[in-house]
Amino acid sequence: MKTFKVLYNQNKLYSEITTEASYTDQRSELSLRAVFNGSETYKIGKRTVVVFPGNFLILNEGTSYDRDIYSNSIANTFAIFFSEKFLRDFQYGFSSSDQNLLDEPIDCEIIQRSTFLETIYPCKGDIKYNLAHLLDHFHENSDDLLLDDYIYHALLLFYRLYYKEVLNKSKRLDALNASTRDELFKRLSLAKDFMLSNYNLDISLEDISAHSCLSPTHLFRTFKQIYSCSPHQYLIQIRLDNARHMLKSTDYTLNEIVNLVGFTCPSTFIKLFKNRFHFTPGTYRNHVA
Amino acid sequence: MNSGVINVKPLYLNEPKMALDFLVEKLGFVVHDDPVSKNPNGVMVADNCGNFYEVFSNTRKSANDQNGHSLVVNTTDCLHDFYNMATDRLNILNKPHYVPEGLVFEVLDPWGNRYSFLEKRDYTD
Repeated sequence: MKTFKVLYNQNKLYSEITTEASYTDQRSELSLRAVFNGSETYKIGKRTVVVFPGNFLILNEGTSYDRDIYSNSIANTFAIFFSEKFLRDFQYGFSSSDQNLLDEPIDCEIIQRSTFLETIYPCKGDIKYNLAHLLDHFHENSDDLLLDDYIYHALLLFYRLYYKEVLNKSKRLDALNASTRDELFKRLSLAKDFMLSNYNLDISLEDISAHSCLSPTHLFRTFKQIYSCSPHQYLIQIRLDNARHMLKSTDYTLNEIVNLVGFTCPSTFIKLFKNRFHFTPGTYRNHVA
Repeated sequence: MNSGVINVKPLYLNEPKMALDFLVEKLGFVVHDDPVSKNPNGVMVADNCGNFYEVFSNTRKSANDQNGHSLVVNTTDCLHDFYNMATDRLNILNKPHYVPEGLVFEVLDPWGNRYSFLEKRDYTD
């Protein structure tokens, strides 16, 4: 099932619920693409990015891509397309109001931006609530002005996230100059995206290294500077977060989840889960989720 | 753990009959017929998160507090409530903004009482 709406100000909303779909040679406006169930695969140039629940992808205006959904369970995908005028008004609103700048201390550098790092961002906290409400109201065919309020907040929250996840984190790199730092951060984002897209597979540091065009040693050292953990520890976190999502929102058995998120040994999984969330997976499913 | 006890907040209002209409028609409260309250002078209302409030006449309130009360009302969808109240042209004191507990905006009733509509969010997830 596909639902599409163009709002009065040319912002667009798109939702698709399906197990199989394929779209080639697509061209985007600035858009935010989230998945609430299942997964969605994007091919952007030579890069393949898979969006799972708990993440979203940003595509800039003019980016060409292919989009595929092949999912065992029904995939529930959602996208916001920001119109150029809306972006301009948003940026003007911020840069012209001292009150706004005081209330929402977002770095002015972001406000001037119209292109962003095309990477996977965490869909957690306020932006997760915002997108879930927006999707509900979209399906209820709510008034454009109400939908627009949510879109405004989605953009606001994305700007905040961009400041935190990209601008702030890239400053942690001990690179010599800004352009080297930007390039290094882009490659580390490729490493992160590769892990987020393939966490359920048996991937090694060498695989991650090859996909990010960084030597294993360089990757290991600089990844730690940005994410405060090694690539392997980051991969474990992704697997545990996805396992938690599955415990909460699916009926898969524990053994199925262990396999689905890329662990091989159930007892190791249980130990790691307990260390991270302070509950065993069983307790989490029965009493917390 | 749910102990089965319903926590009811008292709500002292001037002109409680009119204020009650305002709570129901403008702020989205629901009157509860179920007589949970033992006090026959109060009227039970609930917000959309299932929190209960008992509305009393303001004569019971302390004499030195005449400037209207301030109440935090829980909501499941702050932006939606804001949109509805803005459409109804209520006296909104500030737009929805983010606080450590979630998303909140404030509205004033015609009697000077201040309501903070708070959508509590779990940031540990």
